[in-house]
Amino acid sequence: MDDLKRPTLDSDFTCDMAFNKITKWAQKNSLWLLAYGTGCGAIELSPTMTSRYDWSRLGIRGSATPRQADLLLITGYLSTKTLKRVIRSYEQMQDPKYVIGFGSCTINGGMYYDSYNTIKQLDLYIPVDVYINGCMPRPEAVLSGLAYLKDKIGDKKADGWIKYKQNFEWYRENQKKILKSFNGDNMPDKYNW
Amino acid sequence: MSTDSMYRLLVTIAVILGSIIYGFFINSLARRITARVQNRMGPPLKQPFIDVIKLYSKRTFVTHGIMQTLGPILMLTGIISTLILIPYGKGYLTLYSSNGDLITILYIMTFGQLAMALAVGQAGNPYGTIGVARGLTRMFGYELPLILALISLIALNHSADVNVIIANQHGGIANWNAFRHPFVGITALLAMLGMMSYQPFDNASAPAEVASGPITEFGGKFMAIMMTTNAMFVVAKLALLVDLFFGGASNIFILALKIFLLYLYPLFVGLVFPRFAMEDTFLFFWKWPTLIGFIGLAIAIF
Ligand code: SF4
Repeated sequence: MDDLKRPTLDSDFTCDMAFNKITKWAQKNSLWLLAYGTGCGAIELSPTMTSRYDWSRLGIRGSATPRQADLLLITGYLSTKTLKRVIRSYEQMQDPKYVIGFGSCTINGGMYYDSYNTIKQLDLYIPVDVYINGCMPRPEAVLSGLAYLKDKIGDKKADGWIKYKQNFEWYRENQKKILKSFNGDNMPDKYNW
Repeated sequence: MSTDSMYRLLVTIAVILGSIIYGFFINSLARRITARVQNRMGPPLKQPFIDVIKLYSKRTFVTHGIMQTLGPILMLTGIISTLILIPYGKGYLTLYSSNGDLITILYIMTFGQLAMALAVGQAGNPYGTIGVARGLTRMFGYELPLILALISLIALNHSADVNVIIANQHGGIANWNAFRHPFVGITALLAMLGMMSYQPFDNASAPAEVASGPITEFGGKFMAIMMTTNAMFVVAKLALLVDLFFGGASNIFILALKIFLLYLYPLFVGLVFPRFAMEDTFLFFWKWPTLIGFIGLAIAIF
């Protein structure tokens, strides 16, 4: 982790003009998340999005394709096979974009800590803005995590996508250690295509 | 430029901006109503505006070629041309509707969708292509009853001018085309279900089936343009139907009310019926609406 460069924020990300305030307000109050459940945690999303907890009142809704999504939820353990798809989806999303690591599995491997085919620490491969811990987190925890992400966006601290762009080689190297197929021509070395 | 044409231009710009705002507004009301039917709170009323500002403020701009970039813009052009050919009331609010009749409007309406089809073709996403194929098949389905209804109207009024059709409906609800010529009205209302692409007939952009259909590959600013365009298109389509079948409107508030009430109808139908399969959609439109449409046409002509 130490050789990770600290993100230097570009000027108009931090600038405080009225226009930027409006866009920040819009970005924080409209989060479309990619409906892509990786692990068992995705089962908690159904109550969170339906009548009981209804996240649409917070301006959150699902979107079917990465092109339209702002938010990627990694819902739990991530097998190496899924990791490849996650990276592709993440890179296809349009900036600014955010990632939430969901459940203990994304933090330190959780109960899959000694598994041969899941990754243990998500933020070596894609930048994570917010973690929600628990195995699995209840809808209340999910909503509080989403609220925390909103605050972070409002305070201009949700800068994972800038970090990813600036440390792209570092992330790619980590990804290539796990995904042998990334070493060939299978993965474009461009960031967003 | 004379003051007259200047006023007309200003009113036109106001109507274009107003249709965007009103389109978003009824969209968010629809989302609230859907939520209430499903026992939810639903998003706040300003949600579509927030969404569209967010989409316009996206930083990346990924495009696969010139046609993909042009597609949404051509679509916007098509919709604005449709919008200014429809009368929204009297005086300046008739905009440029005297420059084109019903046939022009129908022709221009499809322009945007065809531009979109080309753009999706270039984006090269298989889901997009399936979505376009489904969308065009559905259009093929509902256009037959729709055209039958409109031809009956033209035959009944001896004119294809929308302003003349509105003028002939004066004098109370009983004179509205939807009630005076019930077969024509029913045909048009059934065809409208396909036109609005709400639930039973939303197979083009079916979220769980084909990602989001034609717009699969369009994100960020493209998506923002499309959302704006859709808001305008919904208002244009509904205003046209109000003009043709529900007696038009003498001022903009009555028009807004009528548009909203008419909008509730496909919404509630959509809340009750789940999505049709593609072949069922096609069969549905070519069966009953077409039959009723032919009866209406026969009555209109003889
Ligand atoms: S954290 Fe627990 S619930 Fe979540 S994916 Fe891991 S094992 Fe499953």
